[in-house]
Amino acid sequence: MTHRSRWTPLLGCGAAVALIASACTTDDGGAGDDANGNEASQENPGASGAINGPLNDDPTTFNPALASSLSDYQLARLGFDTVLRADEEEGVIGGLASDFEQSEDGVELTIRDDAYCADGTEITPSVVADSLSYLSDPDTGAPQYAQIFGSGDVTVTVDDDAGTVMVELSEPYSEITQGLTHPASGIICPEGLDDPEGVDQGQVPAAFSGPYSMTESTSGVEYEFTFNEDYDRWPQWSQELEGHPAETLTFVPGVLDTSPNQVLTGEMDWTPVEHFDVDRFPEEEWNYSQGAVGAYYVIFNTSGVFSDVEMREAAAQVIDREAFQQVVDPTSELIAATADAGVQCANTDESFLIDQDPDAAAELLEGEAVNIVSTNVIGANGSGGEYMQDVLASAGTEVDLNNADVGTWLDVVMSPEEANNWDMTIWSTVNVAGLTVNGLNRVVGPALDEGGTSFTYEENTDATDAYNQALQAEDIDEACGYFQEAEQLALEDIFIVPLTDDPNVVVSREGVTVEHIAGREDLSTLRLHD
Amino acid sequence: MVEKLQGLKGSPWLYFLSQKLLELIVAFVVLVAITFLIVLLIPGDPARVIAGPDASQEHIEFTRQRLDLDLPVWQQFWNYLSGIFTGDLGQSFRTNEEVWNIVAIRLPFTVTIALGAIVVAFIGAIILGMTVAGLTRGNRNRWLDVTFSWASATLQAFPTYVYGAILVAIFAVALGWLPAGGASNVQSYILPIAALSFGAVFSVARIVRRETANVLEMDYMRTARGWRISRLKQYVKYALPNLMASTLTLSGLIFANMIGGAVVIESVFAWPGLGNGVVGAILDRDYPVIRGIILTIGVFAIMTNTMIDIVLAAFDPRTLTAGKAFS
Amino acid sequence: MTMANEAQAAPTQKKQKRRLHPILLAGLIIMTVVVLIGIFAPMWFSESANVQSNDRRMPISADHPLGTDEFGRDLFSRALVATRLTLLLTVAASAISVVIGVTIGTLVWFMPPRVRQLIVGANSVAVAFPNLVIALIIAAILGPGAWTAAFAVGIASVPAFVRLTVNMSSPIMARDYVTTAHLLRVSKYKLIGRHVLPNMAEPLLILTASNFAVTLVELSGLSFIGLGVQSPDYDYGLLLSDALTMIYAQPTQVIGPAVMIVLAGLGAMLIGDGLAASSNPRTRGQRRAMRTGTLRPAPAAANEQAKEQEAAREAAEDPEDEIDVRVRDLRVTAANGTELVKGIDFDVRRREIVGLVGESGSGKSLTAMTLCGLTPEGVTATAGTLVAAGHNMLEPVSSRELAQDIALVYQDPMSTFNPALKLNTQLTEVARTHLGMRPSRARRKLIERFEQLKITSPEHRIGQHPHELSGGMLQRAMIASSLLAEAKLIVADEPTTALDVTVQAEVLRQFVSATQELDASVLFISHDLGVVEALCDRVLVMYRGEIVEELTAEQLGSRRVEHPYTRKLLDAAEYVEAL
Repeated sequence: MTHRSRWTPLLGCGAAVALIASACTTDDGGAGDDANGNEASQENPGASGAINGPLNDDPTTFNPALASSLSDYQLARLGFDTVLRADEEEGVIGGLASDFEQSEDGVELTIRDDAYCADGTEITPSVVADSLSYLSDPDTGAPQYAQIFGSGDVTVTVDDDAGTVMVELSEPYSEITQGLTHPASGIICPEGLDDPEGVDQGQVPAAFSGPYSMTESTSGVEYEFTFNEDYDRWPQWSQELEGHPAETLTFVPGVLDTSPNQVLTGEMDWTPVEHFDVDRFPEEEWNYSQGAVGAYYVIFNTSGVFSDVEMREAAAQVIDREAFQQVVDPTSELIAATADAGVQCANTDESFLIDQDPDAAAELLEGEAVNIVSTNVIGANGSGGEYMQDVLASAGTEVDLNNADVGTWLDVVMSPEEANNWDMTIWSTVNVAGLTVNGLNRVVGPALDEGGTSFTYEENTDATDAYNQALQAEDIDEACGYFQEAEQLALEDIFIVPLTDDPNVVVSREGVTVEHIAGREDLSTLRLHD
Repeated sequence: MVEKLQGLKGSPWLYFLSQKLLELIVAFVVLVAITFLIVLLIPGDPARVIAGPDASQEHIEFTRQRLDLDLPVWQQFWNYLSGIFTGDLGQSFRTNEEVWNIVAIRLPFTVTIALGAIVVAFIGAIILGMTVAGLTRGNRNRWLDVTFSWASATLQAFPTYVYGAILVAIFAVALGWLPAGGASNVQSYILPIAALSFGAVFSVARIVRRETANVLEMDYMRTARGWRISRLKQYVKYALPNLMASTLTLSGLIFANMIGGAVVIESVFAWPGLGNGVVGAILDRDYPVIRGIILTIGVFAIMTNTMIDIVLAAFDPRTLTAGKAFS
Repeated sequence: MTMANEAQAAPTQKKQKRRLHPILLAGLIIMTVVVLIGIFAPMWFSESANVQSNDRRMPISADHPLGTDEFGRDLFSRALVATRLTLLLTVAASAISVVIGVTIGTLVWFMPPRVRQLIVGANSVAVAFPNLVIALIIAAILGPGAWTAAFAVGIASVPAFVRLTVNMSSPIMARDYVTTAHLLRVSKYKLIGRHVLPNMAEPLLILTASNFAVTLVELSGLSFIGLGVQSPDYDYGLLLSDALTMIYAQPTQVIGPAVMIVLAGLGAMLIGDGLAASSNPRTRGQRRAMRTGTLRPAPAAANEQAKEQEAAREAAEDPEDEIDVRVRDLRVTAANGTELVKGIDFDVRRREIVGLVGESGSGKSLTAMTLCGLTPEGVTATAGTLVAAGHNMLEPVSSRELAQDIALVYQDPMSTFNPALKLNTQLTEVARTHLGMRPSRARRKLIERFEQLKITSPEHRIGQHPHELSGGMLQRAMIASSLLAEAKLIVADEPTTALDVTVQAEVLRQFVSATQELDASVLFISHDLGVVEALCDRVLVMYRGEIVEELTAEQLGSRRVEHPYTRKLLDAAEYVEAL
């Protein structure tokens, strides 16, 4: 995806909302992964050197449990290890847990016995359990609770002898293992749990459990992370990383508009780039890594003109996702449901999509009034919303486009009171943990006014049934079948029109690499090559 | 001026300064009230924005309570007011950081480029404006007159952010001489200041030139010519002080506009100043930060205004008595 | 009062006034073009500007002079079509600031002084507040959009207009007829409509034109940071914002909106400049590129000129001759060609006091100034011979000598002193610069001279600013400074005219004793025959640029005058005395 303007970091990238943050990193299709060519030793050859790069914006907190923006997640990944990690091929692999066993009730984690906090405290099963209890405590108010644990209550029990931690869920949630790879589920060491406010501000050095500790921060200006010398428990990813980690990582927030220039001038070592900047970094000279942040798709609000499935079909007939792709970001990938290709259970069957037929559509749409609400971070200056307005207007509808900033837009689409003030929107997901529920939950289950998360208002019962079955599945393979069924049913009833993913392309100078793991950027993979 | 202050008792200075102090206080009170109110008028629920799109309804409620947004308005105002008088501007909704701290970090970045730009603009404008006025006095060098009118108007019509982008493209990206953004070292100040002052040089030079032309017509300049002092001395010693009054009055406005211009230019240079801070805070509905920054800019504006009035009075004591009703 | 005004007094302006100032004309032409684009472009180009095609992000080509954007829309057409919205928004914003600002600014005059003071005080703070920040907040409150942006920018400029209106209307409100009208209970609205507004119209118009350009840039700035015009609407600012995003990928995209915004801003600014120039009497009539303020030898035949130069040199070199001033064939010509001084001749001997009388506009001040080598702007002078204080003024003379030997005392002491500097600084300038006196010594000397001229508490006075002293005091101070430099020639241009009658006599007495002490010769310019008669050895009567009669003090005293103009002057003087 493109964000609205490279020159408006705070608009395009700086806002509090994680969504906006997502809007700021882009991908391009093109580049290759220079970094992972060969098998090199995954052993840590000792950290040295420094890597300087940009952040979307100021982190809202350094406490992973309270993380809510992309910058929070990026930095949480460095400072706090999660029990599980995502992997390109295996789906989920061990992190602080060496092994895990998923069941209907939840997941049992076997904690590795060679893990230590930044201050040398051993990370025992109790330490992990305490941290997960803190995360799942309703008083903590973890914003990512639902993504990590689903909708139910959580009970964490520990068996020190067996070295295991059991995470029990009161409501079934088959994506729990994927959820526990979420950077917001990073384990906070005991001293941090004693002083959560200190962790918020990043001022408890002993709280860090990951490869890096934050050693300096000037809000709005710079953050510095220093490698924890003894750290050597990198996840056993199926793609191996070359090079060695840097001794120091520095991050400058709010500079995504200038960071491509700064990489070109040598002031920075890596940066996400927009599609229109890709040509400035020839593939021969620069390292590329690509992935996605989330996905874009149209959601119809069935309380108004789109209560009729034929009307929704007509609208879908005029929306050309390839044209949308060209307008918003030519380097993005087309999607076939509510998630990008990096999400395990995403539907990829394009036969469920509606074929283009503007003429047929025009017959139905002619003279209808349609309220589009969209946000100006989708495409340059909100060109995504502008595209929708244009195609519907061409079909003869009276279109009213509200291309608002994120705050206003969220207020409209997420307030049940506003349900009658909009007919369709382009939804944009921020899916850091690669969850299928993230995105699908906007079109299945109870609507907002009934305490659910769906924007479609009319409950799609068939799809919802499949979705619930997916949540109750015992493992992810079983779940995927149901998830895809739910997606296909939502497509058949035309609650959504899939568009593209929200791409993230990262360029780094020669001698520096950073990877996307399972399609998601992971700053703990920043490496120097001598 | 020192002598003036010595004879303060019963002098117009006492009245003048007390008047200024009163104005300051009134302005501050108004500012506090306004900063509180405007923020409430901005549409969009801060709790929802802060909690993010994937937050559950419970979490949004939780956030609302955490941010004290569930309190009645009068109580919020009381908290704000008592906070201000105890030196506490509250904490950012978004990052929980002390607003004081945010302002303290960001203010110097904005002030340095605004101040740097105004110094550059004024020195440049005075030299340029007086030179042109001198060279074109009495219909001399009509070509220069016309060229200056057109060139300055054209260059002034360009928005600062266009200058910013062009400067970056040339001096950072193409030539690699200066940093492309951020505020990492001393060199990073050059381009923002240049971008901010470039248009201002010409807009102020036009005024300096006009004022100089007027001053040169004055009888006292004839007197100075009668003393047969060098042209440079005539201009610097006899004309310049008389330009200062109008130029300084103007500088208050220009400085205000520089701060405004900084808001835009900061986004071009990813500059960690107040401008970027307030735009971000508006989008985040981060009430305390919006209030803190607007309040800071406001206090700055009031102080600048007052300081200029005082300097003006020192420069030209006539304003002490004349400018009672309006300044 | 000034030379320039005298030069302008020539009755040649009526015709020229009708013609537009060239800068104004240029501005109007540019603005007309922009307005026409605003009117017609949306009719002719909206198809290519607004309809999507598959020629996305195209470079410059014959079909697309400025390329296309991501929707495949023609950027050239978009830059033109954006003109209408941009202009409408800018006009709306300007209208808001002008109407509200002027309304508040005039209405405050009908409020109790306390309320007025409060409003004006609050306004002065509002003025200091950055416009863009005010606009930002308003735009945030009302939600981003084209018209809210116009409203926001318009409101943000209101304080500036309030301040200007208050400042401009305050002298008007103080005028008698407004006060009278108020006393006669003429309705407030009539008062504003009839008296206040018409008097402010011109400066307001100028300000509005310049403000238009500022508003244009501010609106675009708001669009640039995303709080202004929102797609699918577009103005220059939004196009620029899009273009700058792509500046490295598609640098040509910036051309269209940049050229248009500069064109519109330039047009408005030139109109403002032109209006200001037309309303300024100084620049109104001047159009020909002619260098003024010069003094040259008269273009006479070569041998004749040489002879005259010789005569001048003689006069200059021969102190025995005791000629301090010699003027031959002095001509002063205004920029428009009118001859203001028509070839006059006269001499002043050492220690002689010569009066030069005539009505205003007769050219006497021009003569005096030119004599001192200070030909005013707006006129040019030529002379066959011009000797002052023994120096040949047609050749380069060191400024040290001129400054030392020639002292000038001017008519209006209030305006001849630099208001920004202390008396000491100004009055010791010649002594310090040209006589090499150290500041402390010059200061001491000046104090002595002040004492000599009976100026009370001189130590205190010399540290004061001119506005703190009375006119008579200032004029004495000026005389003191010529004493300081020990001038040989004093040129006094109506030194007492601006003073009270009671003060006049005292100042004149001191003037005479000063000249006697210096042994200086004096050229005394006046229109007051009584004064001249009492003071001068010889009197030259000047009328319409010519010396019509030369009289001794005796002749004048016994009223033995010949020229009818002199007669008239005498009659007038006697009439005044009789009163």
